[in-house]
Amino acid sequence: MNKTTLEDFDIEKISTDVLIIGGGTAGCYAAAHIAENSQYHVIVAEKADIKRSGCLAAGVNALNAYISDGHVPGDYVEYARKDAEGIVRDDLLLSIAEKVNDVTHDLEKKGLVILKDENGDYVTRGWRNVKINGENIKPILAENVYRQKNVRVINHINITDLKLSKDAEGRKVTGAYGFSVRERKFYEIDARAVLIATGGAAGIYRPNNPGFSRHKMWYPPFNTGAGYAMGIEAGAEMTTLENRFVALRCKDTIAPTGTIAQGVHARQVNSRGEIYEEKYGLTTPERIYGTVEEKRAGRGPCYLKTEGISKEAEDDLYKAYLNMAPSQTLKWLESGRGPSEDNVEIEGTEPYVVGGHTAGGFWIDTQRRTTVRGLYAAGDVAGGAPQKYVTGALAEGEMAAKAIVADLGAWSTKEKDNPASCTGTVQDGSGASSDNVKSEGKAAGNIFMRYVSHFNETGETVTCDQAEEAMQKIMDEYAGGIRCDYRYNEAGLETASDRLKSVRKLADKLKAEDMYGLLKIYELRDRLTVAEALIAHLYARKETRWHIFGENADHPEKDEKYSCYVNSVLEDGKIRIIYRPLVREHEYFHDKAALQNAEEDAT
Amino acid sequence: MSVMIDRAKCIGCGRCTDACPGNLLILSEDGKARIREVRDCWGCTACMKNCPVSAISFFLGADIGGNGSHMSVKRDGFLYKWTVKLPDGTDKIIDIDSRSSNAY
Repeated sequence: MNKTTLEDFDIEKISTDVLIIGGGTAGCYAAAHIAENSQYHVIVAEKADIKRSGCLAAGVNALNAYISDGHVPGDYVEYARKDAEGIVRDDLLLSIAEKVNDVTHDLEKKGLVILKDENGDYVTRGWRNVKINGENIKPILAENVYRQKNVRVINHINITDLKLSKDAEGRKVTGAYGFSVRERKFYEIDARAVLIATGGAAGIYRPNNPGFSRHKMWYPPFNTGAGYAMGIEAGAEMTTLENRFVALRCKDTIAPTGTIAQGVHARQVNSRGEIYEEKYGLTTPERIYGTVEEKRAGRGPCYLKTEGISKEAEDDLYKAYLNMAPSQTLKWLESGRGPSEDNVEIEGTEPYVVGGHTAGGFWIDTQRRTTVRGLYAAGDVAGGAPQKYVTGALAEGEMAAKAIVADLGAWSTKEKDNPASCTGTVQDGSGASSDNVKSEGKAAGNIFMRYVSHFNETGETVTCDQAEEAMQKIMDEYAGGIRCDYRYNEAGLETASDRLKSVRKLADKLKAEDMYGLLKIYELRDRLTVAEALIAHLYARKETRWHIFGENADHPEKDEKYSCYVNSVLEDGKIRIIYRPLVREHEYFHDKAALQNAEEDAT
Repeated sequence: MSVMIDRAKCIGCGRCTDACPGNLLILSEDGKARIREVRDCWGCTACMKNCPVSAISFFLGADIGGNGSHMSVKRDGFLYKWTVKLPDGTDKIIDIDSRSSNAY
């Protein structure tokens, strides 16, 4: 067989002002905002097609972050802070809470159906939740991007690495590298600013249904943590990854439970019919903790008590699920027994890292700048602000867009005033060409040759699927997956860390048959990078702050010493842990003072 | 859970291959759509909603309670007509008007 070489691939070099990696909720909204409020050219690089990609592919049945009459944004901050036992960024939460109503109204203007009462007011479910028909929410967001003349959407492209350079002011991000998932084509994209909006990470742990329905999971199985991985490798600081997210779901179909719990006021009951939710508490982790504990005590399976609801309510549930999780409706219909006849069994999912629900992700300032210049983060990939959900991700997309427009303007002014310290704008397509700008990190040639190398591997025994299963099994058994009721200890984490190194070696030698095969290999690499960082974070928080999300068996109690953030940076191939004091102010900057205040702990 | 494609109905337009958030659907050499790996479907039904001829249907694997039924959707203006075909040959139909909100 002929050896594959770089000549077998096309290489497209592109220059733009702003590169947005990931055309999901936050990325689409940011792209439109930049185009509507500046003359800058934007590229949206999307792994699938923005019309139906990311978390909103199937639709969503409610907007979970909305401030209803009688409440103020501060109430939202308080609620999220309490739910997360204090480990949140008040500045980020407040900035989101102040914007969620505006983005909701904007979505309605763009065509989203929101339920209203006879006075024309939104019908809320609780005080922070509006009822919608969100089946077409993603096409609405995508159409708004396609309307913009300065935005180019490149669908079916997988970005793998950030392009770094160094000038008088230090390191900065100046673009990214990637490949087409369809054609033999590599991309080198130069950009003055890069927004990461790739979503969170699923598929790190062994899933609930590891066989035929392995991808029937809560979070999109195609969100592989690519943004975290790229950021970690570029030296960006991460926060609170150890605050994993586990969802309470309908068993097997992994469909949402909130719609039933809140819609028909179903309570959580054990196999004896006892309502157990009050015993453990009503936050998401407490609801799952209760379910796990009831099972451990021999009182499982656990259910949402729906028996006896009206046929009308049952029909409404069928419709609600068709708009967001059709498998649940199918399950009810094909079993011939709906929720009015049978209680709905529930279970916790495998853990995810996802900054839109819990707080793991990029460490950002209030404007959504990461710790590496030129790099911004929004949506599930951004940390510090749990419970942001769809409207919060949109709000963050808009805020990151504003910061990018402001920074690009400021940099241009600076370059005009002081050409000697030119930071090397790359609009001429020649890359960072100024004498003062040196490229940092991996060069295009190295990255492209790494892509090519996978086509020349023999791949005789180990496939990508096998390596992925190996990783998921290690995480499940040694890093607090479903199998161990989400509990982990230091000895197990050390074992996990050690064994993941072997999987990493396997990943380097996997064979790609085609571009899709290469995509699968890179998705595995991303997950491994996230898993390694996650283990370091789990290890560093020597307490149990949250049941289920961080169930540390060596330290089963909450410890006030850890009322701080656990952050990390990858330096010279090693993860360095940084403990940072809680931010309770309304504004946070990445300044030197904050760095000096941080207590450091090398692990 | 996964999707299956009725090759007799498929017209090879490729819309499903664009819509799948996992890049799982491709056109075979004969121009008909197929799924690369049935186990990799998330179950979002984006492909079904983008298929102009309702050639794609959705089913649950036996591991999560599937017993041979499958579900398809046909779009007519604002209406989504969901049809579940049960193993005994009977159909169950649910119409959803995309202009009306969820009750829950």
